Amino acid sequence: MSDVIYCEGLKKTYKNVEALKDLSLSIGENKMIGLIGRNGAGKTTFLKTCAGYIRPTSGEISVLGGKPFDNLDVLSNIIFIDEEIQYNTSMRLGEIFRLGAIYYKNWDDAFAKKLLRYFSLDVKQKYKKLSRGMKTQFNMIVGLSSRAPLTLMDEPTLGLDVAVRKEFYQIILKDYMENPRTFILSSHLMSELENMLEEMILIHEGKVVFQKSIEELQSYAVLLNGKQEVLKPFLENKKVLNTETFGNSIIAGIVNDLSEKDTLFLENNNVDISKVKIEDIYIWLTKNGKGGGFDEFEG
Amino acid sequence: MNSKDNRQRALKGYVSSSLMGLKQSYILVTFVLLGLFAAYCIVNVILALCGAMSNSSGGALLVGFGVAAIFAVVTVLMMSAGKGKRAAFIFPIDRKTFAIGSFIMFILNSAFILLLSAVFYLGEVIVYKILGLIFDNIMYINNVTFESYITGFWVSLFYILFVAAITFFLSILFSRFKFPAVIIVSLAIGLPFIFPFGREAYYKFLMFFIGEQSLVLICLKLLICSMLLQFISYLPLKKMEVIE
Repeated sequence: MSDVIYCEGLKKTYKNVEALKDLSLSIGENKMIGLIGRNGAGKTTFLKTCAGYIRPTSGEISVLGGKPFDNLDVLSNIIFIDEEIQYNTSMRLGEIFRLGAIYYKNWDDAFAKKLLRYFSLDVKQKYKKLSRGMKTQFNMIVGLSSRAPLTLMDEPTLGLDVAVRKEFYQIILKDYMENPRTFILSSHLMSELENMLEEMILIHEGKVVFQKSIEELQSYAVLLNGKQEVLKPFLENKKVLNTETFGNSIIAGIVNDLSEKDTLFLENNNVDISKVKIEDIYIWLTKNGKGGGFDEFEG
Repeated sequence: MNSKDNRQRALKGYVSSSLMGLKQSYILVTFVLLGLFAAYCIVNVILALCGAMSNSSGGALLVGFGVAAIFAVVTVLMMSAGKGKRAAFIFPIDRKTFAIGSFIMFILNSAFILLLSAVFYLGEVIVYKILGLIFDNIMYINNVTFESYITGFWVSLFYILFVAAITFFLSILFSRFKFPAVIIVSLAIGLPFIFPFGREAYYKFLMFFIGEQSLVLICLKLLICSMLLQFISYLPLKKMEVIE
């Protein structure tokens, strides 16, 4: 299977700020990928580099077999949807659809209009007159209807209420099943997206922290809950992601490398072992020493 | 991947989106010309009523040329400004498509206004004919023939194209290199005026165009210079990033 995106040592510097630092990854064909990371982690810069908006400072990037910057053959197969999209103010939704049909060879006009009707929008409406949520809905419709082999969505559900978000997740998933292509969704609402994604990439401070399948991530860490005198010595040899103490008890999130012997020991000492939410793993891995919260922050 | 097909789709898309985006500007400029035309007619009726003799030889065409030149400059600034570029690059186009598509738009915009002026010119002729039937003191001298109109149309079109290409070049230069570009361009334009050879160079430059007797040659000179300017504008565009 060929890589849709391949990066090696990718760097992007804005004046004195390093947005991407030595970023390396590869993404295979027809996958639904989640891109996570804190604000300013480099997610948008990475997506914009893939979409050919910006030029990497150094390193290698190949998207659909070519460099994306100013490469029409690559760009014709990519759609990048973000909240900053500003179509010409005088354009109507129907006109934007007409343009979509010109630019994208796989544009599905029937699907676009069906979605428009479903979300109670009208082709005669002007884009600038739409509310923020309606703009987000419309941008998503354009993104899906383009049927671009690589669909990049940066915070695609921003401004949508939970009901519309869930409807969109279902639509994306159904469309993805019927028309497989590569989706990269960047979002802070990972718990909502978790069930539809195949892989997650965590970017932190311009670097890839991990790229794992959802199954791998779900078993990546475990939560231990037990007495301090039992757990403290046990944790000395483990990779601890997070700890919280409550009186004599301790709750610790650790990387799941428990052997049978470890599990037996924990069970015999009444230590509760439970699953960890992916969102928590993401928070622990990117906490920058501030994981204890504002009360423990001494900065 | 079919490069030719991608290029054609991108170019068609860019020109279509520019035309759709400028729809309101076209309506506005039509109303401006209509307003000017109405004012022109009213003035002539008043003059005729006051007993003054009035004549004209294609005033609407002159006004149309002026409006087309202003419209060309404004639309070029809209297209090459940050917002215009961001709107263009939402869709899959490359910098070459942007430069070529903009050039096509310069021609289409100018041709639209010039053809619109031609319609108003016909209106002007009709109004004068009617006024001539009503008022005895109206004398309409029409020097414009079909041949002279066609010649004027092409020369005007290429002049406006040249103005649009200069505006695009300066706009791209300023948006790409900001303050240093302003200083360099200001110095390049201003300094030669201090020296006699500089003034002479400017004079020769002007005469290169307006001093040309052959209409075909002047059109050719303007077209080639416009294309050259557009190519030079493309060079700083090549590395331009689309940053919000």
